[in-house]
Amino acid sequence: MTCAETGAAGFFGERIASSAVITLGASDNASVTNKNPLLIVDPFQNKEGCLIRAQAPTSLSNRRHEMRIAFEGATLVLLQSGDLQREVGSAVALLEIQNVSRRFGDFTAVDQVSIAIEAGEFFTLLGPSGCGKTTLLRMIAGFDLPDGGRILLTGEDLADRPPEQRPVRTVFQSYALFPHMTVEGNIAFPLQMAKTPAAEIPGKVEEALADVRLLGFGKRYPHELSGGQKQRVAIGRALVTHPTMLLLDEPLAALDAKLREEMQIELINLQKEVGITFVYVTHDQTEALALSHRIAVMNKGRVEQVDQPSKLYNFPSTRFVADFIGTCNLLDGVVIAAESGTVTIEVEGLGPVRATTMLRTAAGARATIALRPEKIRIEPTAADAVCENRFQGTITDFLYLGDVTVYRVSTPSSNKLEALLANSNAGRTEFFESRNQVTMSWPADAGHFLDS
Amino acid sequence: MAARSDGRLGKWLVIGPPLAYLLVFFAAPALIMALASFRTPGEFGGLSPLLENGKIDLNLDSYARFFTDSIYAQIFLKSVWYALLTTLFCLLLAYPLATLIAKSGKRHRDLLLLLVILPFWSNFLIRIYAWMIILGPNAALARMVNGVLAWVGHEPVPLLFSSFAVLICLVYVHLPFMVLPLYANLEKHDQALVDAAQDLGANAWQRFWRITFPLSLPGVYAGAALVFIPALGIFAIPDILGEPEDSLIGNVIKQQFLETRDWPFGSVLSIVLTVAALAIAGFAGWVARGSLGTPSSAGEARA
Repeated sequence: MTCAETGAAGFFGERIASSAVITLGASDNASVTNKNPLLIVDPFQNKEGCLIRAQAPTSLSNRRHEMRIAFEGATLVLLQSGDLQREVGSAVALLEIQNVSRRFGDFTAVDQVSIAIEAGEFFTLLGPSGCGKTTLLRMIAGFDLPDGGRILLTGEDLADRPPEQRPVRTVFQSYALFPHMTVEGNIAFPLQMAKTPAAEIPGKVEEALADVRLLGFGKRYPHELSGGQKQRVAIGRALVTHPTMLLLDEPLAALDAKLREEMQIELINLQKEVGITFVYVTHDQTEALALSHRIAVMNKGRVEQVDQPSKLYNFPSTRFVADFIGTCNLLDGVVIAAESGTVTIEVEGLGPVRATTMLRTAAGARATIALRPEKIRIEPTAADAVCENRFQGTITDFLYLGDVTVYRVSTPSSNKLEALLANSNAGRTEFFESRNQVTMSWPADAGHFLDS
Repeated sequence: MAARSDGRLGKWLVIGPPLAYLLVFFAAPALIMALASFRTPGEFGGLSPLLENGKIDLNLDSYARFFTDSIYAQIFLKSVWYALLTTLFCLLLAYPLATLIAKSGKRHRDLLLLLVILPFWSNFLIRIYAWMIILGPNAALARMVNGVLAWVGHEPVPLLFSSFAVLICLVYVHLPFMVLPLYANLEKHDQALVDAAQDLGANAWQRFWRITFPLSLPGVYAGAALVFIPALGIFAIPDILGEPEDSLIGNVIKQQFLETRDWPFGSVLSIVLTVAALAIAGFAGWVARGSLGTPSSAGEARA
């Protein structure tokens, strides 16, 4: 085993075993630890090439590092993003979904969707039921075919490949474990299908069992396992052949809340450990925010926005995204003044609200301000309020949720806003009751401007 | 206390009538037959008196005859062979049919099931006689087959009164008994399992052989038992469609009771047949459990 460390230049031309542990700690704080560096550049010819994205720890910077390392045969080559473009052509993305549509009769399930998913990503398709996310996943797996558009995996059109010939694996919502086989039998199945020599199978099965923390459960039958254990068998079975991509269809939907949270953490760690690209489908926005590197929010067959979780939450690009991710006060109105970076909007039933934006807009345009409940401050009197946007209101309802309290505040013209106050706020002594007169306030940069 | 005895009474009211029916019309005749197998045949048929000169006349003569005269063992083995062939052909024909029915839409499915059970609406013997006409020397089928044979320079063959006729009719008569349990099993299969197998790299044949077929084994065994056991004892089909040498164990039993009138020997043959059928079914069940891992895993597959 070779262990290469730091000094990106040192990677050039260095020979390396296929199962090496690579630690890349470059000068710009990028670091990647990959126990299983087999993200294969060309999965169809089984060349042991791979692409690994080096990502900076998020605590230092949110910026993605463009530096990549790639295995080519057994020789490790370091590529800057520019080199990569030249080396692999323009197809940098592992999976490219190009203008894909799928219609069922009059109903358009997937409508002109284009997404590029990169190697090593934890990518989530998020949306309400019927938004087309599962249809899209089934098309990637090959169980359904697009009516229009193309799906490219490492640059190759998948249209002519049936599911069994695609180097992607699906974890089904119902787990779909084979009831007549033991856990070992289930995990060995894809290896047998791939004509793995019989002598190598037990070792690989053990490895997969260890990956999903199920050592010692090999001889059990699926009906002897709990829901969480079945889930892990399904994941182990899908990962044992080191697929290029793992597709997960609401895999945690059947688990109870406590176990779901545990499994979320496990999924994040597992994905980091094996380094395989995950494409995850869910309707649960908190789950999507917790798990993903990037999320595509889908609605009525279309992609509304593709972004990192924090960007989606703080800077939604459409009303739907603002409303679907978390809770949001949507203030509709007309732009009355627009200077550089700041707009003032006359909100119906509230008054002029100031917000910052990078978007160009002009007076008279209709617009919406998306305002998260936790960004609103509530004070007993106007004198205490310091922020630019200040409005009087009456508390109509409140929900005490332990860690936070949600207040519904009604303005004189009966426009209702939702505000969220942390109960642990240092120095917070006042709790408001229904019918209390209060002042709401928020800074101009708290509201996110949506062009409508 | 009263409620408890009421419950017990209710239970007896429910299971009493079928139990009484089975005792009177199944257990008692079976015991009488078992006893008859140890008795001596009467001079003019039937049974000689059980008590003669104050001595009870019970012997193993008829059993000795069965085990010493190899002709009966041969007929018996031939019957098992025919029943096995019937079961195999029924399985080969019923599996695609049951799959088709299980996969078709609700409306077509009901129609197809109706077609499967439609033959039961006409009399069993009439359906066998119908085969006499279909296979007869002047029927279109025989002319066609012999036409082809003449063309390749082969002598014409009779279709009727042959092992072929017996076997084809055995398969025809028993086919629904294989289709129905297979359909009942296949209809409950979870498509997600087959999808998962495909996703994990299995081609069409591997999906069938590794997933669908093992999960359908409970249906296969039920169908096999429903076909094999009646096929083993059948006598009407060889009587009507076969030659004398196509006689099966059922024909011999019928002959012993009605023509030779050797009741003890007929009883011996019947008992051997019953024991053999039970033994084969038991053995198949034991093999089935072994191949399915645990029995409950197969149960879950149907859920």
